[in-house]
Amino acid sequence: MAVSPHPTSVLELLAMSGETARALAGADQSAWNGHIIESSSAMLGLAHWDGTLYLDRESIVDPLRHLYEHAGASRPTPTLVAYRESLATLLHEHAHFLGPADATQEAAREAFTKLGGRQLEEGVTEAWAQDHLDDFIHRLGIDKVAPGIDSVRSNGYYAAFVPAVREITTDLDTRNGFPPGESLSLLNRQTAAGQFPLLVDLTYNAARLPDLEPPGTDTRSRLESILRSGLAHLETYELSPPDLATTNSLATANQVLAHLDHETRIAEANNTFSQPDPCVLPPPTRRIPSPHESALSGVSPPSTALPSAALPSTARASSATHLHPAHTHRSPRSAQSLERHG
Amino acid sequence: MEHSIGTPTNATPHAPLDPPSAATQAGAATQARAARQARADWLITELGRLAAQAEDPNDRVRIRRTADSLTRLAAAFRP
Repeated sequence: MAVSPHPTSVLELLAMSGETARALAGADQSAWNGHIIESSSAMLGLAHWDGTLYLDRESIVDPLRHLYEHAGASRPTPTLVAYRESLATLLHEHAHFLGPADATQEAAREAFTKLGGRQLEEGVTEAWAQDHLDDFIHRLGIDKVAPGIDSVRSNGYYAAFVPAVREITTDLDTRNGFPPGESLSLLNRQTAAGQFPLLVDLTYNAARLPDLEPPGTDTRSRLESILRSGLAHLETYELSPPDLATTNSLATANQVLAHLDHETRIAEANNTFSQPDPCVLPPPTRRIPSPHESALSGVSPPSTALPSAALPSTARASSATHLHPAHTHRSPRSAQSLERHG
Repeated sequence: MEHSIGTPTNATPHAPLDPPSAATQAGAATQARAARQARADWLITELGRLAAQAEDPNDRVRIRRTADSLTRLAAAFRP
């Protein structure tokens, strides 16, 4: 008898769910160790740092068990929604385990505790899981076991984090020329240890800064600080009703984006100013004194006329201004332009 | 709220007049970490209470999903 490519029981579903999520995400590895513990507590699902997956028995595992016990049968919408919510939690938790080939859970755990680390990872994980739930369902053949499951919709969660993450990653997609969802998918393939460095890279590279800035500037750290502070702030709305949390999440994201834009413009302006484009003519500036003029500045020009002491004061001033430009007052801005073009 | 978001009107970086020493920075980082851990613990307790009291099933699930995240954070603080 041929082995079915799709799971036919809850045990098979859970066993195949990790690799299906990894492949769907395009991640190098999953830190899931294959163990699942059916729990009964305040939480619904937990991707533990030791690689164990905890799932609430009553709210997550039992609906999935019911799904296979009634395979192929027509079910009411609330039942399909319950299945869908269980699968959404399962995919969300598996997404937490994903990472690149060189990732470790130790580094991920440390990064998760850093400012904004949890908010970014939860927002990315949930947004990505919402976007890919139908694909997850189809890959596992669940739409055949529970007909209609892909035509009902369930609630999304983490309303304080998801809208902000979507807003920021959508902006990064646009500014980097990525297809929609690319920044979110790239972040989802990282553990918490890689997410902020990647987010900063995407922000930095979207500006003109890679072509303008010399190495060793602190622009990246300033961008990271803005992103971390902004995302950490989302925690304020975590217990708010979803509508309020969504509104504030979006407002926060827009503040972050405005702040990032301001910071990158400052860095661009600083570097544009100090590195002129050779193809652009410099603006007219005060004539630069020749070395000879500079060397002779302060020395009175030879004259056959009256000695300088005998000149009227206005004529002296006029003569000095004309012949000794190196001694005239320059504003800091004209001083800068002399350095630039000199 | 641990940190407020900055505003674009005050974005120009300035070097601190008296840069904190490495020991001061490490102390502040430890303090911030302890504060986040304490907040996570408090929130998990609070969320358990709220979930138990919630009459709307959607609210109950929403609260419990939040508890998932904070439990993951609390576990990260306790190796």
